[in-house]
Amino acid sequence: MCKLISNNAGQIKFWIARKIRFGLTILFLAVLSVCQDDISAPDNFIKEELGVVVNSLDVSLTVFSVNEPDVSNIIGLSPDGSPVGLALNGSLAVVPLGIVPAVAVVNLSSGILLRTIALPEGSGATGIDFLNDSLVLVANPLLNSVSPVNIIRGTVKSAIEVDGFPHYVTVSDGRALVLNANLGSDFSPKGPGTVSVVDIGDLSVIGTIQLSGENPSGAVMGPDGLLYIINSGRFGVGNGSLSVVDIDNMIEVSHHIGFGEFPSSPVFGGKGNLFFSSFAFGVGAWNPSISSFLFAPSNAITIQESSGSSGVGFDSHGRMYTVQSDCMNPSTVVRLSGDLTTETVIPTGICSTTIGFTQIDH
Amino acid sequence: MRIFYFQVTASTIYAVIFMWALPVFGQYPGELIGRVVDSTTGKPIVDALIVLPASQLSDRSDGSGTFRLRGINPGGQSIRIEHLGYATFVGDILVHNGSISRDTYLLEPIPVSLDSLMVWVDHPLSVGVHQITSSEIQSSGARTAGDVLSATPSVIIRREGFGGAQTVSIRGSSADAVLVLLNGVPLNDPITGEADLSRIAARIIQDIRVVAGGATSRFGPGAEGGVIIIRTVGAPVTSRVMLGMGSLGMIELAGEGGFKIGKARLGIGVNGFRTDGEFSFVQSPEVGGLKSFRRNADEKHLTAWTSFSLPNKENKTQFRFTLESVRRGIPGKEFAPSIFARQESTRGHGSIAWSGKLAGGKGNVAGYMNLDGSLYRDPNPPMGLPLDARTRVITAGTRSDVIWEPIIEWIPEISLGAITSFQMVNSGSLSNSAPTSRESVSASARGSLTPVGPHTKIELTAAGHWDGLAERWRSTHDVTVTFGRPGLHFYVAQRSSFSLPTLGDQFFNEGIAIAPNPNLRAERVPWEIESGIEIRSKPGRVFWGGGGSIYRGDIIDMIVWAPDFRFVWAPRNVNVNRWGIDVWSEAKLSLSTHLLSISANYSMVKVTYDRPEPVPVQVMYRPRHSGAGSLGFTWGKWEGQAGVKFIGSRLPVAFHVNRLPAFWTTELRLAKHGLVADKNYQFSIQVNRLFNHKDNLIFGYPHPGRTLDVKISFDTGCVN
Repeated sequence: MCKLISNNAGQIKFWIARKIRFGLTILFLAVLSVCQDDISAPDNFIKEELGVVVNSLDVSLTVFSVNEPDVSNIIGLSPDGSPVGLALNGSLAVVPLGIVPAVAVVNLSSGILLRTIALPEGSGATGIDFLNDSLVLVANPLLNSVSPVNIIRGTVKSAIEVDGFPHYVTVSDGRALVLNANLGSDFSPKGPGTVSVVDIGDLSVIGTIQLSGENPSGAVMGPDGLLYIINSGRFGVGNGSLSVVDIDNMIEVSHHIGFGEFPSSPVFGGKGNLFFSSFAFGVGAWNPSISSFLFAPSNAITIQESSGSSGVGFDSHGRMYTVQSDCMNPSTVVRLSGDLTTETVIPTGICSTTIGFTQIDH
Repeated sequence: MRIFYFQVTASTIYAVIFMWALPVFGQYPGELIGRVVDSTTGKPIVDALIVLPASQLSDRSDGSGTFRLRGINPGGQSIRIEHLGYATFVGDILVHNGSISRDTYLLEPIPVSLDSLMVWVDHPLSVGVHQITSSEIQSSGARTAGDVLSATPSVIIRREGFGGAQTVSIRGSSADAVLVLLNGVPLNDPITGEADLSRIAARIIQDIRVVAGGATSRFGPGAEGGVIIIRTVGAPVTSRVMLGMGSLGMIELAGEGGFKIGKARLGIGVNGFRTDGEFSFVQSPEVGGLKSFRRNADEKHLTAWTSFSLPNKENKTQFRFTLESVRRGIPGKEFAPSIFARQESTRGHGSIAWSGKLAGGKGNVAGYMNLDGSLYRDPNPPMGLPLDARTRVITAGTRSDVIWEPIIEWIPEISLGAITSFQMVNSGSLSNSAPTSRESVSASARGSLTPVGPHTKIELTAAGHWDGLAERWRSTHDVTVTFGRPGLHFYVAQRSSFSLPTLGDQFFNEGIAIAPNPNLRAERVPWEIESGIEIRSKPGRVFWGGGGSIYRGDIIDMIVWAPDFRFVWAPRNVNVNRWGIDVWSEAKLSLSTHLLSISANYSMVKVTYDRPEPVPVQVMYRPRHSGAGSLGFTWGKWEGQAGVKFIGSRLPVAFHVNRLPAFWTTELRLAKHGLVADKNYQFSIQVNRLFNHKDNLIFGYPHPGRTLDVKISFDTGCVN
């Protein structure tokens, strides 16, 4: 019996050793192969820029190539939910599902929903950005916290408490900036919002910045290193505003009013102008260098037969896209030419809200 | 109102069983135990009248078609058996002194047609109308009216998981476009417009008729998608008790009895049901796939009913009253559970109907009143503000018609009808601008023509409808041509119908993420056309029947709840294109006391948004394909049935993504009846979702999968 065990143990050791040798050989060949790929990569890979649109009511993404916008693909995210946020990193898109406490992870190259990761119950998942290639930070507005989520492993780390009703996240220079809308249980602002600054190294809140505007709903880092925050204000009141924040000194450096009814989706376009959209008036533009409107809400950019826009974005070529949302019928994204006339109309899903762009390798 | 519910222990169960099983000894001159069955289908005929004129004895057949006559004078004498829709049977029997005779009586069905205006007094079957008989209800093992209807062609029962309200869609309609009548009383909630079929215990149902397709001209507003006519049992000929137990802490206890008071018959009954509704489950992978536990899913129902009928030579008066109460949790979606939301509702509805000679013709007059008090409460919802909404509704109305048979041969029938309805509503769910009352009146005229012989019939109906809220008249019509020969009928129908917006649609209390729409227009089907065929044949001992229909009826201004860009949900009008096919078939083989049966049906409805897009999109949660099938047998005292139901793939959103896969469910039921200590008993065991399927029509509501129900019932005595 003992001999038998001894023999078996010897066979197992031999088998393991053989496996290790085989593994090392494969590893060596793989390294060699990667090195060769590195040399030839520029010739073999083709970069393609994709536009990605979040459709809130049918809970899907519309994906199109900016080079061939006539061809689009629609990817279902979940049978239920109310997504509005979107984070893009290469071929990966991560979407918080709103009333469904989860995030959907999508491979844009294959058009496949990779996995859905549950968040804490009652999250209200809205607002997201990548901290690194595997970690995203998701806002839980109904829990007054943000949750780091490893999208590769499908795990959720302990939530980080922030201010009231966080619903937008953007990452810049090693810090995650969380916009807290300070909404009450009736979803109306209780007062001005704040920005929670989260260190993405130790995942802790290192400061909170008080804003002057109500209901901060979107932010973008400007070329001047300042954070530009659009405050949507109260619905129906028309008190949208812009907060300009110095993150290093954690202070709001200026606050500009006159941004009209429920503006959102700030994005920097050509010539360093800040563009924003509103369902009420279309697309406005602000010139930060002179602190004045290029297109004020009263003379905003509008698409034919439609005064509103739920989102605005620019591709790497500097072409502007506006989201023309319709919650009863399929929506559209309109690409505008340099003279702000319609160049291409891209059909999307129901109630499209957000647009983003990413580059993938083919 | 506080309701008593049964706390049943094992000892209580045994006590109940044995108490009703106590033997009753007695000597009789003679006794006849018989069974009345349909000669073509072999199915038992319920409520047939059996009369022995010489002995001045009579009885009515029970749910299994069985009757018992005691104290019969020995010797030969005649027997007469009557039932509406069947030729009267007249024959002889021979009763021996002190002994029990047993026999089975076959009644031949006779063709009958649908009356002009279906008040709730007896109405026969017509082509295009699907009927579910008492025996089918019993053999299905269904617990609620919704369960009964779930295998009916063109009908989809919508239920948010295991337990909870059951609403009905016919041919892709909204639930508020289907009129549900219980003994002639509309059950549709005046605020939501929907009828909750989970509140009607299957046990108290005599039969159900489903009129698929627009029927506003005959039944008034609200019948745009169809009508479900439920008639509850009258006075039973035997008293009976039933005890049921099952999975998830289910206990059901029921009893009913009947009495004769002179010529009048009085029936009373009570039915109680409770379940914990709690179970462990794994959330759908689409929402993260976490392990979870279903809470706040308990249900308690109590139904008490009474009926009183007074037949005379020339007229018949019937009175029915039902009191029902429900207390249940509203557990919400699996990913956003509402563990504190509760519904408490108590409803009493009474109706009185009279039929007899009126104004030189045959008249039917029915009046009803419905008192409803309900409370929805959620002190801590997963999202939004706390809810505490009380509603009190009083509904009263009448349905009447007079039918004349003119002397002219090719006009066999003309009729005039009227429907009135009045509602008083006081609800915390409605805004201050909501009206506190609503009245409507419908008047119809109808004529039947047989210009080319009795087998070709043209029915013309024209109706006008006054809506007191909109302060306007609308008109509808129905033209149906039926032709063929006995056993084979074709029909073509063209009609219009509409359904008014509900008070909830127009005046809901604006709240978090929800808003009313006072400017809603009525849903309308201005041009619906339908054609169908129905075949019934009886070669030898086999009965075979089949049929099908094809229809087209686009819905203008269908009322659909949808959000705006702020995700504030509100009812909106959208146009919808609709056409579909229903087919059904059944076969039965009758061998003495044995019966084998098989049936299947399939429905296809293409109901798509009228939008400019290359691929039409099916309306949310309207499966394009659905069907059901069953295989049953009665073998002496044993009875079994295996049933399958199919729900096709469906869209949970208003676009062609995130499609939910089709699924099957399978039920198995085995029952045995017999005599214990001179008492009839029936024992049944039923497995629902035999293969543990956990899919649901609606996404996000978990189902426990396989469940088990066990029931035992005893007849406790005859009513002579």
